[in-house]
Amino acid sequence: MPGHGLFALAFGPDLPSHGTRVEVELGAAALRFRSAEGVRHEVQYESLSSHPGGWRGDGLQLEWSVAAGTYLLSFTEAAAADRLEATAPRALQSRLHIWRREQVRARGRLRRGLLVAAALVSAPFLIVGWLLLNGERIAALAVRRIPVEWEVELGQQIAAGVWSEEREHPAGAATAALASICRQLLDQVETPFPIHCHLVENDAANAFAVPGGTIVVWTGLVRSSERAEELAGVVAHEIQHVVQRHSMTALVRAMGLRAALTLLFDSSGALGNLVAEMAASMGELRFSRTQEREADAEALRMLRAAGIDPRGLGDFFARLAVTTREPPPFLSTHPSSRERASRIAAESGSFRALSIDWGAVQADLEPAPAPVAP
Amino acid sequence: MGEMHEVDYKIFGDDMQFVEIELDPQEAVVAEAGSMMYMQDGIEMDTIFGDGSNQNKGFLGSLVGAGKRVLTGESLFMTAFHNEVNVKRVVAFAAPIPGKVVPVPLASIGGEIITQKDAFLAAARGVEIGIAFQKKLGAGLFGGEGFIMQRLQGDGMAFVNACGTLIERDLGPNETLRVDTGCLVGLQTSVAYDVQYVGKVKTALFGGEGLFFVRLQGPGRVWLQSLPFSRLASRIYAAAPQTGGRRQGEGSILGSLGNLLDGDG
Repeated sequence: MPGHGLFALAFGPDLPSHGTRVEVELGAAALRFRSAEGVRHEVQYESLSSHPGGWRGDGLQLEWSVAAGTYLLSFTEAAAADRLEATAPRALQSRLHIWRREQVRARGRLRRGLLVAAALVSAPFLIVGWLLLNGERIAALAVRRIPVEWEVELGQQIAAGVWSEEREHPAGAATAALASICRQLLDQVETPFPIHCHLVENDAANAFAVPGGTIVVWTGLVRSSERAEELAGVVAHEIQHVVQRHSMTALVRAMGLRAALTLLFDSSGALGNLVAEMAASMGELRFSRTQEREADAEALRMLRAAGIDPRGLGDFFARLAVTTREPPPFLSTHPSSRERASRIAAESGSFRALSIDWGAVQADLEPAPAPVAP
Repeated sequence: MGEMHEVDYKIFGDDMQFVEIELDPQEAVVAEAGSMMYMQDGIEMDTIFGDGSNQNKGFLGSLVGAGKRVLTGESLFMTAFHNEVNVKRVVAFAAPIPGKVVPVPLASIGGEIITQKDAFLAAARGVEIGIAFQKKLGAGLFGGEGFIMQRLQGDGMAFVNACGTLIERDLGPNETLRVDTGCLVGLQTSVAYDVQYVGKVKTALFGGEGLFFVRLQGPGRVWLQSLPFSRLASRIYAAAPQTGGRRQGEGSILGSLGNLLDGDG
């Protein structure tokens, strides 16, 4: 194969319709090539026109017309076109300007196109990111339009699933204390939800609010509380979750996010599924940190209105911070206990103590003595 | 470009074709792994890593060749068939999809063509089967062939196959042809390949041709297929009972009633 020649695919009225590969010579004023059949062709540079061509638009095509038809030389490799430009005599250079101008334009088009493509590809991710950040606000707006009855009904179903099997603590000093706290707090809020507090046997120190109004306090929480104000603080916090409709907001947000993900990413696609699962596990029916802060703040206001010492909630968090090891705040759904305790410790004022015999409550919760083996 | 092996061939079949290639002593062809249909005694098979064109470029060269083949969705390996005896022997290669096999004499058409992925069936040893990247965004996104295409380079005979009927058409300088996306199989490098909006919103939505045509502008030769394989596949998939396809032509009572209703008779 001859080495350093300038090769092109030549088309013309007396050449094969699928073109023929020719070696091009550049003279002083004319371009010459010889077809495979040996016919010499020569064309003056001034009768040539140039334009970009080739299957991906980066080649150079030289064209000229004679009486019999149009001739065309196609340099499809970018390298060959560049070499032609580099070695072209002055007379040919001036004929290449259209091609060069189009090359620059094509490069600009490609750059703009890539920008648009990048924007299109990243748009779904940006939308999801925006939803993750602002989803709660949007969900809260939507929740306002959801009838309370729906939420109550939903809550009843959830409540049945969550704690029906667990044993409710028998009536006594402890249930009476909880009922009294609950009543005192509920007197301070205006809410369409029928809120009920239940004391359920469970050794874990926890309490939770089921959407629609059921508040479940585990006996472990009462046992670990050192005074009635601590229990009141936690109950106030859970009541606020119900009043502020936090569960519904979280649910709407999770559902909306899932719907958005399904719309934006093909639901059948593996990526879509993965993203949906991740987002779902992050968002599903857990209160966000903003919601926890809101519940804390509103609980304090409610406690103060009821004349209950709000520092009880702070004491509870302070003990929680000592006894449990917590992940750093940015990883956790709850604000850290220490942070919450210190915010509440700033509360001041004089409050009367709750008229609850805490010793009797604790005695009521004492586990029944284990049957003695015979 | 190394030495090219000349091959004599014969194509059999009507719509599902195979090509029988006659090898002179010491001649060789390379083919897509798994496409061999039969071969006579005396022909030896050899698996090549990569595309067989750069056997003397060492391991790295063949690694690059193999990597390119992975990009075009083909197997890492190709198979070389060479005639080790002193008489002529034949080997046959069958197309994996229903369609025509078309011989492409690379030497006489400029030594290089661009084809859609998977179009390559077999070629004389020495033909380089590489990849070519589409640089036009429009053509890459909407042209139906994607950004990665196959490049067949060399002076030997190559065989390409595609689904349905495969034709070649020569376009004169500046002659244009609008083609349905997906129907383009191959083109000479001198042909401009671009997409063109169908023109009217109504046509785009209801014309059934999609939003874009492929616009080919000469000069040069193009190869077109009548039936893109994906179209055939989607029809088969839609008709499969597992996907709720209609059981047409099975003659059941419900079937004929259903056929009456939907007008398929």
